[in-house]
Amino acid sequence: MALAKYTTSVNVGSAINALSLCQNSNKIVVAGRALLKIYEAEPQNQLKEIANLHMGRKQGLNMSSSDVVWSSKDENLIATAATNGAIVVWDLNAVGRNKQLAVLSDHRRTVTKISIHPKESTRLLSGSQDCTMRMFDLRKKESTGMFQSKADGVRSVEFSPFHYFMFAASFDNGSVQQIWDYRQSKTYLSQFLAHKGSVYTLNWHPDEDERNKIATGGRDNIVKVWETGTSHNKQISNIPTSTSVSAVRWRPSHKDQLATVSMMLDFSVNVWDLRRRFVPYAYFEEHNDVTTGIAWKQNDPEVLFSCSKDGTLVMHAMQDAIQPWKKIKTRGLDVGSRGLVLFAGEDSNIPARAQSPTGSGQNKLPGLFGWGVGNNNSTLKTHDSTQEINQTSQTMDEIISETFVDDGFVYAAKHYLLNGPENDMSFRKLCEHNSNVAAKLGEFSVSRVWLILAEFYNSVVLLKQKMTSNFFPVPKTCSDATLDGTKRTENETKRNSDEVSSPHVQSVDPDSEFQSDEGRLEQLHLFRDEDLDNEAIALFGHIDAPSGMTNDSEAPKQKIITPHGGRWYETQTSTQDSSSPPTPTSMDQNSDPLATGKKLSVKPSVWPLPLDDIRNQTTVEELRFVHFYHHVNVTIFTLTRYLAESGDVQTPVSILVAISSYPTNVTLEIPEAEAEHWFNSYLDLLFKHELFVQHAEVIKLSRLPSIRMLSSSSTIHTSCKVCQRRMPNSCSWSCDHRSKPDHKSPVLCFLCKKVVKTLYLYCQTCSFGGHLQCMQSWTKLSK
Amino acid sequence: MVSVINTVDTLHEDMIHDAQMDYYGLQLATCSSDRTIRIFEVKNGTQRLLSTLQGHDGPVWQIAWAHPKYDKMLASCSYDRKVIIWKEQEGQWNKLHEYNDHDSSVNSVCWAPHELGLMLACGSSDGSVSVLKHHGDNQWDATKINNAHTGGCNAVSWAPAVVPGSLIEPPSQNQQNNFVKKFVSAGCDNLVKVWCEKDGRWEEEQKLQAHTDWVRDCAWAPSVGLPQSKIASCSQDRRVIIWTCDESTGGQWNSKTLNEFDDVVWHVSWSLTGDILAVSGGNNKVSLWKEKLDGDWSIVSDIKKGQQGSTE
Repeated sequence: MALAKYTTSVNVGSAINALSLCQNSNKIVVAGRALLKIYEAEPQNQLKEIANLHMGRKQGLNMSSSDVVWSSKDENLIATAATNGAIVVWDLNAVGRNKQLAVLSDHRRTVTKISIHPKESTRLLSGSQDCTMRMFDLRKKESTGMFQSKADGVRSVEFSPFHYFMFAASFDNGSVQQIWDYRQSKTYLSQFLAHKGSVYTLNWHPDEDERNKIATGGRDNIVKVWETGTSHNKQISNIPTSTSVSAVRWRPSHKDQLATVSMMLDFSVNVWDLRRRFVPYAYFEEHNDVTTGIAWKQNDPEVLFSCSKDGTLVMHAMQDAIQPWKKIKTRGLDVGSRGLVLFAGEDSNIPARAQSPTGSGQNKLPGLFGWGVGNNNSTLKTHDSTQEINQTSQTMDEIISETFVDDGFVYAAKHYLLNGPENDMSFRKLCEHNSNVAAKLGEFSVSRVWLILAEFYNSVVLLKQKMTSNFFPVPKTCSDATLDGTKRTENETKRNSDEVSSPHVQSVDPDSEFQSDEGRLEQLHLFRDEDLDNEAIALFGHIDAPSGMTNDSEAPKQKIITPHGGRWYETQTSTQDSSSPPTPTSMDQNSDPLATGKKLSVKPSVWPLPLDDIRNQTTVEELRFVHFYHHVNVTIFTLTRYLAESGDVQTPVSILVAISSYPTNVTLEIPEAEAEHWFNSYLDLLFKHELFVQHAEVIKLSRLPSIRMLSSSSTIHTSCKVCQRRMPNSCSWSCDHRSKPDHKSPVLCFLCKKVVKTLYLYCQTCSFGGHLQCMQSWTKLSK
Repeated sequence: MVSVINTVDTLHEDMIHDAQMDYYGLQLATCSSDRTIRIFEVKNGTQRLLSTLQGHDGPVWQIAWAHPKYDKMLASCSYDRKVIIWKEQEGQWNKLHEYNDHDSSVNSVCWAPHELGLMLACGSSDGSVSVLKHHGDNQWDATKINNAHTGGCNAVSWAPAVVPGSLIEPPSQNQQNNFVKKFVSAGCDNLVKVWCEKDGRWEEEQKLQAHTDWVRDCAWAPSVGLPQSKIASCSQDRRVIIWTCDESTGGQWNSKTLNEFDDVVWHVSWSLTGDILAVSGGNNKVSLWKEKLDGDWSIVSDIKKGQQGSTE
C-alpha cells in the first residue's frame, strides 16, 4: 500500500470528468471525453499510468464518459457512463485489446451517475437525464428494473454501503431527494426537500457507525447533511460554501469531515468540518480549472485524489493542505476612546481545539468581553464583577453579565455612601466606595472624581474633629518638640513677644480679607482681647469648629499656631489702640512670668519683623500646603460646576453632602443660590424615583439652611379620611360632618382593623396607615 | 484598575474574529466566521443589537470604523476575498462598495487617518496590499502593491497623519498641509514593512526584520506630533516588538522586545493617547503595557477573561 506523504500530480493529457478508485485504493481510473486511463499510486509517491482503455477513435460517443465507477468488490470491473446515454462495462481481465464487456444503451439521454452495488458487483445502478434510474444485471447484460423519478432529470444515484437494498437519488429540480428500496420499483421509500435548485451530488457516509448519514450538495451553495430513517429524514447540519457544489465526499473514519469541489469559479478542493461550518478545515489549490471529481483513499483518510478539467490527477496528502484556521485570528482587540479595552475571544482553550479539530469536545463558541480601565494608583482594588458563563447549547454561549436593572441614577443614589461618620468610614474609604459605585456604572470620569477628592481631602476631612490637630504640621521652630500643642503655643507666643518687645499681640481683627487669603480652607479667626479672654489671647489663630459643633469641649485641641499673610499685622496695628490696657500675651499668666513681668512699650513698626521670622521658621511646606488647598478648592468647585452644567447634579450634590457629613470646615466657594439649585434638582429627582430614604439623607446632611429647612417644615395637617376636610381643632379625631351617612363608617387601622381614635399615621404616597403603634411595629417587622 | 465591566452575548453562530468600538465608544461592531457583522449599541452596561450585516460569503476577519466625519461607515474584509464598505443611511446599513480584486482571503482592513480623506488599506493572503481611495460620488480607485509580503499579509495599520516633531517645531507655512501618508504591514514572511506614497505610488520605505515567525499584527501608535514614531508588532514567535524611529536621528528604526510571552500573541492595540499598549495573547489573556520614563515597558495590568483583573 502506498503511503503518500506528499502531494503528487500527473497530467493525463486531456480534461478529466470523473475518477474512481479500485477496492484497495491504489489504482485510479480517470475518464473524460476521449479518455479512460488507469493509474497506479506507487509507494514512491508517484502516479504511473498502467492502462489506457481508450483505443483509437472508433468508439465514438459511447466513450465520452461523464462518470466512471470501479467495483468495490471485483477489481477487474469498471463501468463508464456516457453522455449519449450508453453505459459501457469493462472487464480488465479480458485478453486482448477489447476489454469492453457490454454496452448498455437503455437510457435515452445522458447518464449522469452510475453506482455498482457494494456487495453484489453485478448489480449496477444508473441515473439519467431522461428522468429514470435503471438497475442492470451485468451477468445478463440487460436492464432488470426501472425507477421513475416522477421528478426531473436524475443527478446522482448511490447505493448505500450498509443498507443492502437501499439507494439514494437526487434530482435536477432539487427540491426532491429520494430514498429507494430497489426491490420495490414502483415507488420510493421516502422523499424530502433537499435544496433549492439542482442537487448535483450525494454521498452516503462510508463509516458503518454513520450509515444513515447522507451529505448532499447543490446549486444553492450549501452542503447539507441528512440523517435518514425509516420514517423521516432530517437535516442535521449544513455547510454554507461559497460556490455551487458539484461533488461531496465524506472523509472515511472522520464522522464530521467531508470534501467538496465546486462546479465553477472555485477550483480548489475544500475539506470541511461540520463543527466549524463557515471556514474550510483544509483546502488544496493544485488545480487551475474546475475540479470534477474527488475520492478519498478508503484505507487511508490522509489521502485524497482529485481530477480536474485541466487534465491533472492529483493525489493530495492532508498534511500539505492549506489550513485556513491556522491563519485565523481568533481574538479581536480594541482599545476604545473611553478607556475601554474590548476583547473578543473563544471560551474554550484554543490550542487544544485548534490542534485537534477532529477530537471530541464541546463546540464552544465565542463571547465578547469588555474591560473597563480605570487608574487607581492608591489602593488598587478591583471591584467584583460577578459574571457567569453558561455553556448550555452547542450553538451558542449564553453569557449572563451583570446588568443593572435600575438605571444609573437610581443605582448610584442607592449605593453612594454619603454619611461617612455614621458608617464609621474615613473620607478616603467613602470616596473609594463611591468611586467603585461609579465605576460599576461605567462612569469612569465620575469614578475618577471621587478618587481625586479622596486624594485632595483625605488629610483634611477627618472622621473625628479632634484629629484636626494633625491638620497643619506644628512649626518646626518649636524649641522642644516634645511639648504638647498648648505648650508650643506658649513658647511661640513668648518668643515672639520677646523679640518684638511687645506683649500686646492679643488683638487681631478677623476680616474677610484674611479669609479670602486663606482660601477659606480653614476659617481662621483671631480673637479680640476686649474681654481678656485668656484662651483667645494666646492664639494667633485657631480653627473654627464647623457649624453644629460646640466649641468648648474640643477647643483646647484646636489651638494651633497658623502662620499667615502680612495683613494680619496691618489690622493688628489698628486694633492696637482699641486694646487700651496692656495685657499679658500668654494664655496662662502663671506659666509665663517673663511676659507678664516686662511691660514693654508697643512698637507697631517692628511687626513686620516677626512675620519674616515666622516665615523663616515655619516650613515652606506648610505655606505650600495652604496655597495648595486654595487651588484644590477652586479646582473642585470648577469641577462640580462643570458636572452640574453637563447635566449631572447627582455627583456634585453627593460630593458636597459627603464632605459636609464630616465635621470639617472645608467649604467650597459655591454660591449658595447655585448649590441650592443643585440640591433642589437632585432632591426632586430622588423624589421622582421614590428614593425617600436618600431624599431624607441628603436633606439631613446638607449644610445649606434652605435645604435643611425642608426637614423642619413639618406643619401637620389633620384631615378627615372620608371627606379630606381639615379636622376641627376642638375634636381632632373626628370630622365635623361625622353625622353624615358616609361618615358613619369609622376610620379603621389597616393593620388591626380597629377604629383609630387618636393619631392616624399614614404613608403619603399609598395612604396606608393606622395606629401609631401598629405602624411602628409594622415598619419594624417589615424592615 | 481593570475589570470586566461587560460581556456581550453577540449571538454569533461561530467564532468572533474582531470587535471594534466606534469613535465615540457608543457602538460596537463584531464580525464572525458566520459571515455576518453585527452592530450593537452599548449603553450603561447593556447592549442592544442594532443591525446584522450580511453580504460576505465567508468568515469576516476584520472590521474598521471610518472617522465619524464621513458618517457611519464600516469596512470589512473576509475569507471570500472581498472587502466591503458599509454605510448607515437612515438607520439602515447598506453596502456602499465592494472590492474584489484580491486572489485570496483578505485579512486586514484599516482606514487612513481622516486628514488624508477616505482611504482604506487592505492586506490579503495573496501577499498583496491594496489601498482604496474614495473620489467622491462613490467612486473608489485601488492601488495594489503586489507581493508586499510573500506568503500573505496579516495586518495593516496607518501612521498618524501628524508630522513627527510638529508639536515641537511647527511646520513652516508651505508644509502646513503636508500630512504623513504611510502605513505599516505585517506578513507571513516574518517581516514588518513600512510603506510610503511617492508620486502616487506606494514604495517600501523600511523593512523591519526581527521576528522569527509570522507577524500576526502590527499597530502604529497614535501621535500628537512628538518626534518619535512607534510601531508595535506581535508574532507567532510569541514576542511583541516595539519599533521606534526618531526623525531627528535620521529615521532609523530601532527594535525593542517588549516581552516574550508564553503563547502566541494575536493582537496589539494602542490606546488613543499612544502610551498604553494592549496585547492579547493565548488563553484569552489581555495585558496592558506602559512605557516607563527609562524607556522600559512595564505591565500595567493583566486580564484574563472571566477573572479579576490583577494589577501590579
